[in-house]
Amino acid sequence: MDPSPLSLLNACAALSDTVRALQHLERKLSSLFLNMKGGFYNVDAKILFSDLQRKGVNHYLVAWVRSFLSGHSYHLVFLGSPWTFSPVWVGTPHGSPVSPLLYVIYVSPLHIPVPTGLVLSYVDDFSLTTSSLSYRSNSRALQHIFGHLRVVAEARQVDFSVLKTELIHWRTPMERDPPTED
Amino acid sequence: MAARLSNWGYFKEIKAAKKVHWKSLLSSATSYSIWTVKKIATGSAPPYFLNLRGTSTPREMNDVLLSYNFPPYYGPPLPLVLPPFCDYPELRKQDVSVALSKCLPTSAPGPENIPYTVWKTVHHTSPSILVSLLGPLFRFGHYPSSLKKANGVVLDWSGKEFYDTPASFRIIVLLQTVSKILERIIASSLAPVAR
Repeated sequence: MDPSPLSLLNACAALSDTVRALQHLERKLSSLFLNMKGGFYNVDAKILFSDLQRKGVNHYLVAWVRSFLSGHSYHLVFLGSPWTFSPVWVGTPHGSPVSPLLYVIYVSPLHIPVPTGLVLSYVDDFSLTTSSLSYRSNSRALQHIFGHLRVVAEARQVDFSVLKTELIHWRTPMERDPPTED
Repeated sequence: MAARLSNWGYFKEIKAAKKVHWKSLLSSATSYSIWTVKKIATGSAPPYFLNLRGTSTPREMNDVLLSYNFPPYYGPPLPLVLPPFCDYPELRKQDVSVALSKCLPTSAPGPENIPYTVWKTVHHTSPSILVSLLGPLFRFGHYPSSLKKANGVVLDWSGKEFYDTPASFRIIVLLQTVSKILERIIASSLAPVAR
């Protein structure tokens, strides 16, 4: 198990802990799970560089990232494929140990504050959790937060996949009936 | 008759030994070896030719897959002259050792076909080689184009009804191992920013 704060395990533990703590206070919780379309390919290099500079990253690292993000060439491997390298734009390249970190930095402005809730992310997966006295209020709050999140995401040329979006209303083991809207 | 019996006994022993070995392999399977076990049990899928709609040659298929998965984009231009930076940290032998310790020897190499075990042996034998190779890249904030060449293995998405469009395939990128060692060192510098 990786004990670093960047691990998926920690994200799950934080969500589980928040859900239990708020349920203990008799609150209803709902989570919206979102997946970003395209992921690493959608990183806009110019926006990323300005983010890195704003965060005070060393100049040599910014220059290295600038160099790293440009001018890749891939040779596709399939039966009968031609042995040529073709120039491609890959955003932050898949398979690279740096790419998840660069992507996390790129989408960090999407961590907007959620009142009585929690925002968690793991690379290109986001979860918004909110709590209130009813699931109906949660649904409305999540719609409102998602609207705001989408505006922030559009500015970074990031969009969410509708097919991979999931809404969960958290219930305690005592709540046997399916959740109602009020 | 005796020879035939001996022959039969030999193959029977081989079969019994294989059975015992298979049982032992199954019972001792770990999260690393489970995929090898699965591959032995189910066998590899036979290779087949891609058949993408609207294409007739491998080069056309190559172009269609590339343009679908990597649409064109024009990023900011790179500087033509690389000035040295003053704020760069000197690359140390232990930085390379830490990066190498995180590299799995079973990871598939890129187009250069050099596995991590080679770099681990190189670094163990002469630690200054990788430091001398990678150190200047920190000083100039540069990632050389020779490291930017990678293999893109085309795999099909499971569960698709048809396999005649590029959307039915995904590309797994295999980067060069020496590049990934450098990237791991850079990642350790970037991690505090991501937190």
